Amino acid sequence: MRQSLPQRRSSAKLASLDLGPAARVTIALFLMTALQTILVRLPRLGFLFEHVDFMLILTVFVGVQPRALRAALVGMTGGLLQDFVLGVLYGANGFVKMLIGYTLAAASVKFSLDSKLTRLLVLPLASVTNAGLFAFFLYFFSLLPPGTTFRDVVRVGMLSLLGNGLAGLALFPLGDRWLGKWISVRSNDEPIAPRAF
Amino acid sequence: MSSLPPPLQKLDPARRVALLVAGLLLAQFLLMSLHARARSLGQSLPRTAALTALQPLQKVADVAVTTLVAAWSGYVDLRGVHIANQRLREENDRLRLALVEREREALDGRRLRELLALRQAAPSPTVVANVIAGDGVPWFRQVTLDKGALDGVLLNAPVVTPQGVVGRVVAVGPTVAVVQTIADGQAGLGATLAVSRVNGELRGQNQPLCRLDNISGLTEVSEGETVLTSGLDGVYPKGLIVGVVETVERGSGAGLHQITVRPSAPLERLEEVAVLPPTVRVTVSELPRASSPAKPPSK
Repeated sequence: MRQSLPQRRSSAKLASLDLGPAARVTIALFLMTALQTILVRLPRLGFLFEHVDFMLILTVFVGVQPRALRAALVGMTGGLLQDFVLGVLYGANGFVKMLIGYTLAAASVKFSLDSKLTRLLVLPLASVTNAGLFAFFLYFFSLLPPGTTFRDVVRVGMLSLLGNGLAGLALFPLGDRWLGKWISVRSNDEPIAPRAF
Repeated sequence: MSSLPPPLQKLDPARRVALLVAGLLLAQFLLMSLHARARSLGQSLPRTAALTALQPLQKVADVAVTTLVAAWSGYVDLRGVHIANQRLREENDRLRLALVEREREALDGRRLRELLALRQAAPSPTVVANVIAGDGVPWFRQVTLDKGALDGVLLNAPVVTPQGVVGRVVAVGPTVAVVQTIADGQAGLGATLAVSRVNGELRGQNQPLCRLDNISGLTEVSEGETVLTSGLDGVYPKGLIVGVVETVERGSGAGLHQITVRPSAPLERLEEVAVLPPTVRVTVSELPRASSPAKPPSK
């Protein structure tokens, strides 16, 4: 059966995964959420992935580009998705990740954070902020598990610093391949699109 | 841009973005407040939708991971085998791989038989489900099942394995359900010590061991004693095995014992579980009313 031209175009798009940035980011968001819940079930190694926040890594990956609104929206969507899966405090992860995404993107207008080394240095800092703020919200709304001490929060923060740092080493290059072309801001974009976006 | 109200048009784009982000942050803070106040932590439409959307991906990934792990175990087993002949080794490899696969199937079969026995012993229909995902954060201990409301899973239903209690269902979607395990820091259940028959409260600590609270220092408790559900919490039926006493820090006449309990169910490596029907709670308003009170004698 012969296909019409638009049909053929769409099949070719699907075959080569010729997707736009929004579709790629959406797929990445769902993949990160799924990975987060699946990898913790790995025998013997699963517990290590409790200290890796895949959504935070994606937020930082997008946030180190000077596009504040995009970074904030990716952080918020990913965070809310995490909140819905976890079901403990809706909006906590959304708030924290949106704040991190926006802050990073606003900072990267002035400082170049998107180099391969800098983003790896930014990630641990974002991890500690993420763990600390999330724990603060749980505490603020009396949802922190009973018996949790400040020491536990620091321990979780340090472990997430390590976990996210190591995972970032593997995931950032993958992100470059999947999203890099669509996410990175070129210097000649500036006159058309204000850098803050 | 022309559709924006005049005060916003005067702002530069960066400030407009900052305003929008501030508004969204405020909205999320309000959402947190509402959710924390509602206290219906498990079940909600957005959660059900998100879980249902993720379920197929999690299910496929779980099958892939299980297969890979089985293959890897087979490979690791095979690496230790010394054989002289290449052809025989290959044949041996094939046979061993097949054997590992059969052993896995036999184990699965045994587990399923045990679950079936449990299912037959249970008074009402139970649902056997596979665990396909965890929650992925260090603060809580929840797992996701591949069965949901369409299969008969209900909210607050107790979840068990042949070894012991796992937890209770806190959210149900059409094809997916979330279970809060007894190791979760916010989980608790009514427990009874099997020998002394004293009731207490078992609380999760986000660790492999749980805590048994409110056991008087005068009670005789020994390590290794079995802990059962008391049925007083209105969620778990009475008499299910919860775990065994791991350590006891003796209290005094005035102080309570500090007891840790090791759950009998393998909470860190759950595969199949049985979802029991929820325990029926009878509230005061539902109790049959006694015959109308006698009128006071008229003078």
